[in-house]
Amino acid sequence: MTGAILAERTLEFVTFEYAFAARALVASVLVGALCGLVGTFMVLRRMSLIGDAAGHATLPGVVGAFLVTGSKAMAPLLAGGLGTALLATWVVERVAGGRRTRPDAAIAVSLAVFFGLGLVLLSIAQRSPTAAQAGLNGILFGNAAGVTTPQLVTLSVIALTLAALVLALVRPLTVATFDPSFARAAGVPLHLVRAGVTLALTLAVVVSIHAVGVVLVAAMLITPPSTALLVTRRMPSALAVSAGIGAASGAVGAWISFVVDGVSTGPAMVLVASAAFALAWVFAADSPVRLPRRAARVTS
Amino acid sequence: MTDAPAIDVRDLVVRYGEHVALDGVTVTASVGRLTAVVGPNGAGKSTLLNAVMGEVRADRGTIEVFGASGPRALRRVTWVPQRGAVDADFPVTVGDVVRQGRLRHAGWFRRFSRDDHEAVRAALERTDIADLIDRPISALSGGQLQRTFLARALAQQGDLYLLDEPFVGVDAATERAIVEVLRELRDGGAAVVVVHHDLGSVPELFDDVILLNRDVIAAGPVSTTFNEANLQRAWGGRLVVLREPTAGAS
Amino acid sequence: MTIARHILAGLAAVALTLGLVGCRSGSDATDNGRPVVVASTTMLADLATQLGGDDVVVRGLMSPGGDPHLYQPTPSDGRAIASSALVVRNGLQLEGWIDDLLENAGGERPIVTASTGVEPLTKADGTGRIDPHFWMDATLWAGAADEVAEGLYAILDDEGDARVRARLEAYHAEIDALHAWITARIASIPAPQRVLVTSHDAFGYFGAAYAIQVRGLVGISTEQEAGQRDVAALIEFVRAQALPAIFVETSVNPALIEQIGRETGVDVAGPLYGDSLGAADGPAATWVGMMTENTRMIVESLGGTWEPFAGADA
Repeated sequence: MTGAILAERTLEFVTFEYAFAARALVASVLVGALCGLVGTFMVLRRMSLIGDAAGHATLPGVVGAFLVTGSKAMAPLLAGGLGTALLATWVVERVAGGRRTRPDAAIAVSLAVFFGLGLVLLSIAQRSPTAAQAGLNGILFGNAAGVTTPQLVTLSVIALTLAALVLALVRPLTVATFDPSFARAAGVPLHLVRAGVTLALTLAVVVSIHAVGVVLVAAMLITPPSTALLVTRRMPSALAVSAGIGAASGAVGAWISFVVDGVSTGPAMVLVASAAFALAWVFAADSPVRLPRRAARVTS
Repeated sequence: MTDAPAIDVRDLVVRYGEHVALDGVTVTASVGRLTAVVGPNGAGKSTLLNAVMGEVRADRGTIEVFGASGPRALRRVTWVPQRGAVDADFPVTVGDVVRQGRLRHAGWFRRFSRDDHEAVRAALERTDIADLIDRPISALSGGQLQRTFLARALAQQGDLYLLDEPFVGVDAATERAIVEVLRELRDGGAAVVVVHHDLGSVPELFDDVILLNRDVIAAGPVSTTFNEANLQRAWGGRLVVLREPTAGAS
Repeated sequence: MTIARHILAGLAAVALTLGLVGCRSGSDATDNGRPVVVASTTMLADLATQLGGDDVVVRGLMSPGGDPHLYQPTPSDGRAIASSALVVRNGLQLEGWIDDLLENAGGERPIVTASTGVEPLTKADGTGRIDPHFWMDATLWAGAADEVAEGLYAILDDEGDARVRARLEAYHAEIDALHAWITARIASIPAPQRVLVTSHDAFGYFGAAYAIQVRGLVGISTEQEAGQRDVAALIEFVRAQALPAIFVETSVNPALIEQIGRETGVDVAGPLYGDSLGAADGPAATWVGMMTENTRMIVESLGGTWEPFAGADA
């Protein structure tokens, strides 16, 4: 691709020449920011992959809703997906909260059980005599290029509401994540807070699957927060930087998908987020990579 | 200040699955006293504190804090955790942690009042870490981290202080500083209860002692309760007592 | 914690039950004395049924509306093959999943590759990927009928062979008539509108055989994901051609084609039967039905003249 073509396509991109591309851009930015914001709490609680479990756990709900209703109308499918995703994260919290199973094992078990159940249901749907099961896969492997205006409105409402809640409740959320025992003693209703964060995460996952697909949602919940934690020292800036990196990954990913042939938005977003992480890891203050010009600044 | 003891535990039974951690514990802790909780490993010392805090559920028995039970009772309780229990990589500074102590006072949304700022400042001064206020806790030494949590407790201005092994792994200077602060709190009318690991220092530091091994072996003033017979009972006869010449401090 | 344990146990029980339900009971290679023929796609299952009639029992691995590019076989498919007398598959790299299945089924049985002898089309952009959708060209399908008949001769006795030969001849007549009919119908579409835009490149052979330009959003396999540039390029194409309609397909997610329809204001028609036949009680339950239905939808939406297919007697 020549520079001229790149410039021409970029111009189309920034002037919103195509409505679908404008929607894809907004959706990607919102998904990136939302996942960055909500994912920070899970990364800090060392339960990063719970978003992966939630994403995969939407499959049985989506397929189950299809088998029950016989149609691919969005609302029941998403409701089904949300239901099973919530069940899966609740199972993780209950099992991981006990003393007998560690959080990472609890996440893995929940993911395996729910996704396995989803695959069984999917193979039942494959065999169903009605010819209507086409594109069930498409629900899990969302494409930002296909985002419709109603979907974008839903995403915007949910993203902005959750962001507002997180920002308003940043004080108790921080304490509850940092020192749960102290938080409980200080009157923070720990169960409610945990349930709220889990609900926020599951909602974020379900609305984000449209834009990036289930496999990549987990990446967007983990990578921007991890990057932010490399370069910030305090919680408010960690949240802001994480959301900002997520949003930027969405924007740049959408741009890449628009100008380069054959690159879907979701993977592009994740690659940008990963590149940001790599840069932060190399250049952050306490990086183990010693670059020549930094040698003089090494202090104890 | 009510007449009810700071902690009033009766017939407390706590089980973790099959294992009985506390087997019918009845004990009190009083205000204006520095109380040590000692016992062998697995005696249930941390469990007792956790039960008072509401961290673990009691299978049987009652717990009252200043005559009240349930979450409301915790309003006057301050908790200083074991050093290892908290994530030192968390993005917070010393100042952020100490400010957490004002959560009940300032609430979730309001800006800090002048009293809040003053309490934080005083706590930082008292624990001698005022110059560290903007340092991330990941960059602190063990002693500095312990002082930070102590400062948070001071900022809370509670009436009952629960500390879980606060002297583990801290340097002598920090240990002395912590002891001074605890004494000041006691003299100010608070109850201070400490899970303590070092038997040798109990007589010197504490007023009361609770000897615990799943059940209360003995409890009371150190002078009458902290003796070899009770210690041997608490440790099941597996304790070796070495007598040092008493000349010179340790 | 016991609540969570109960729920987990319940979920495990459900999963186990569904797994067992998904199993079919095996049988030997015959069913009531008739040999069992296993076919991969719904089109091939129909072909085997047309030619084998009551002399065989046909079991299709896929269901209507399924996507053979993405199909995930199950152990019951392996069992079905193990207890069959003949296997019919498409070839041309359509069923990436079938080779392992055939190997693991064990035993020996004749395998018919229906596309034997077909000169395959490759994708237009020069990547060299083979297009497996040869059933879209009736003359090539006639060749497939011959291949399947050969397979049937191998497993039936002489009387059975004779019946298959008769059916084959009749089917050839129908295929020839269908080919002529489709050619005429497509030709009735005004030349500027004779462009078929679909979800993926499933209609290459159709376009070559019936003189209609075809273009898919994604390539030959639905495993590819479309990027925004691909969507933009197709939007430009649709606008430049001033097409009256673009088409979705039964076995592919329609979201992106619908998006293009929204952006360009062009009608979204279909769904076309690209990779699979339709439901058993619908108009596209057979290959002939599929071809006539597709042709009907294409002709009606692109402005050609329509008259129904009258069969081999027309």
